[in-house]
Amino acid sequence: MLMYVAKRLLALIPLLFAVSVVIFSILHLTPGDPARAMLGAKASAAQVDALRERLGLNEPLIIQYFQWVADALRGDLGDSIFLRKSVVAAISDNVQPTMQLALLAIIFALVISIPFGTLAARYRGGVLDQTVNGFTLIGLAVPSFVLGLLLILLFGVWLRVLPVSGYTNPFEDFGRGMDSLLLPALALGATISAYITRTTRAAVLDVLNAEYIDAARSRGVGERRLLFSHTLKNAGLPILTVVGLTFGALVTGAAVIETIFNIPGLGSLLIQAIPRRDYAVIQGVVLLVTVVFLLVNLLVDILYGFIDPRVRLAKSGGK
Amino acid sequence: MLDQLSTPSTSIVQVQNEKRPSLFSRMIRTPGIVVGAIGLFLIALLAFAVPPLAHLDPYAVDPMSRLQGSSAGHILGTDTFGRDLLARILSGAQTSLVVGFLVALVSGVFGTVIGVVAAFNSVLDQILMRFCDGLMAIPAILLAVALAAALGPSTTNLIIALTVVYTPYLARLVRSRAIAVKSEAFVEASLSGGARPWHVILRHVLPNTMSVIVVQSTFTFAESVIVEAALSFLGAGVPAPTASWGNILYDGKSVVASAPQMVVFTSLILVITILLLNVLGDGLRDLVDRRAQRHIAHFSIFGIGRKRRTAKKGGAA
Repeated sequence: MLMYVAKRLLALIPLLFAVSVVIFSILHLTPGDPARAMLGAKASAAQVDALRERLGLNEPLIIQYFQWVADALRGDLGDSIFLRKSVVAAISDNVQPTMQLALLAIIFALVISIPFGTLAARYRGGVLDQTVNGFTLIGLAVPSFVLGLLLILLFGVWLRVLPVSGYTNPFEDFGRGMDSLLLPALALGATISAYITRTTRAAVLDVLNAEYIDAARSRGVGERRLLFSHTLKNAGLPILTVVGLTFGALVTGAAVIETIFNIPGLGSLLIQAIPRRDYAVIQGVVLLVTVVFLLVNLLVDILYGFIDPRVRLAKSGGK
Repeated sequence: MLDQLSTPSTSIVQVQNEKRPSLFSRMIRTPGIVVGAIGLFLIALLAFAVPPLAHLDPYAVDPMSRLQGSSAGHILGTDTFGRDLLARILSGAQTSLVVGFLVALVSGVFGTVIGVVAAFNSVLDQILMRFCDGLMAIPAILLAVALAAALGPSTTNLIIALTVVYTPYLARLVRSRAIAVKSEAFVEASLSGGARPWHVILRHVLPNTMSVIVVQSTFTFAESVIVEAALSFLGAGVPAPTASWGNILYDGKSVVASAPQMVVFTSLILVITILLLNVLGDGLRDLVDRRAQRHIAHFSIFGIGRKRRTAKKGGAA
């Protein structure tokens, strides 16, 4: 097991290297002088030179890259000249609403998708299955920000039951906080639930066809217990993988949703940085989210190996 | 020599084809393909043929009639600047279809070239695939936002950014498919008979990869339409005054209470377009050979493209 974890961790290193090269290149893709682009056409040549010096843009590219990586490894992602604080401080100020939103959204998604996906597989081809399939097909075609706008129209404008904008921390005022997060989390969770429902259905179908289910049934295990205990437990692995993989969609989806509902999260931080060309913030947020995304998937991989010995044997000692 | 050896391989393919009905008749018997293709054709027709015929101008500003409901002059009403909403939505459809199509086409071409090169050259394979991994590890919308921000706001730059985002998925797909085809007996026979790699690529690899490229490109089209709308909505995509569904939704958001038609109609056509593209892609995928299907990665928006690679790499390690 330790070998397996070590191998997965080692495999992450070349990937992180590739990711860092890509993110670093993005800044240097900018046509012209990034310092000039940040300051605008009105800035004097002296100001641009000063910023170039401050950002280290006068060094050779390769030095700049290693400087950036060394700083990032020490936990220093640079400073935002617009926010007048370090990128790390800006991220930690904005990370909480995003995490709450993502967590609530994944809870919504699981509550919707696990029962419906399981029942759709159980009653394959029936009315329920076809209804669920129809909804997932539509769900996959509705981007979360479009659903967010429609929810604002329905609940905020027509029914007037929920706030359509703003954020209250649920840890300070639970009721108002949940009210402010309910619509965005629903918009975000619904799209993801379409995907998880499909995976759940396919995974449960796979297990239902397995011989050990027939064996359990012949031993007299009740249908309900068979479905929710025997089947769902074994179908849990692919579902777990997909939940890990949707993390990227959750955070990027949150970025868009936050701007609709005026929630001061990572997404808002990123989007505000674009017109200002605040490259340090853009690089920092993209790097952080990607690293967390990779770590979440690594964690899922490790959990997978922990739950199912076949996986870790196939991956570490198979050959 | 070369002809003798490659003859059996093509005859095998022909025998298989004779057993099955022709591709066209299988396509018209797949409901998803028929519905998707006809629906998308109608949307394209609406987008490109109606505005010139009905003299709809998406840029004609009329400040006296802002945010009006539907009327004889403006079938879907007007937007925040008094522009005709139908004209804006149809013009936005042009933007979405052109962006989606070009991204699918260009990433398809680049992905094919990179994938084939990687499959046939082991040194370049390492470099190219590591770079692709790095690109694919970053969630799609995030990478598109960062690239669009670095390149600056313009439709061309948006197409470049989305192409960079989606090319690695195509390259991975083509590479794994090309390696699979390369190890088929008829290709090994051809190679050992002295066929040049170029001959193998053009004669065997590309024809046997085309189907999965088409399917993957259909999904790329669908995702590009979503990401284009999302980026334009966020102000990092198509810049105003060019019409885009994302721009219209952004303008519509601030007036959602007084002029809900902006959000409602734009959302409707956006969702229908993506639905049709997904249905078309699913239908096409069902026609593709089962062995090839597993290489196709849908929903790279969710980061799903990575999953199979990790599983495969783990299995081989």
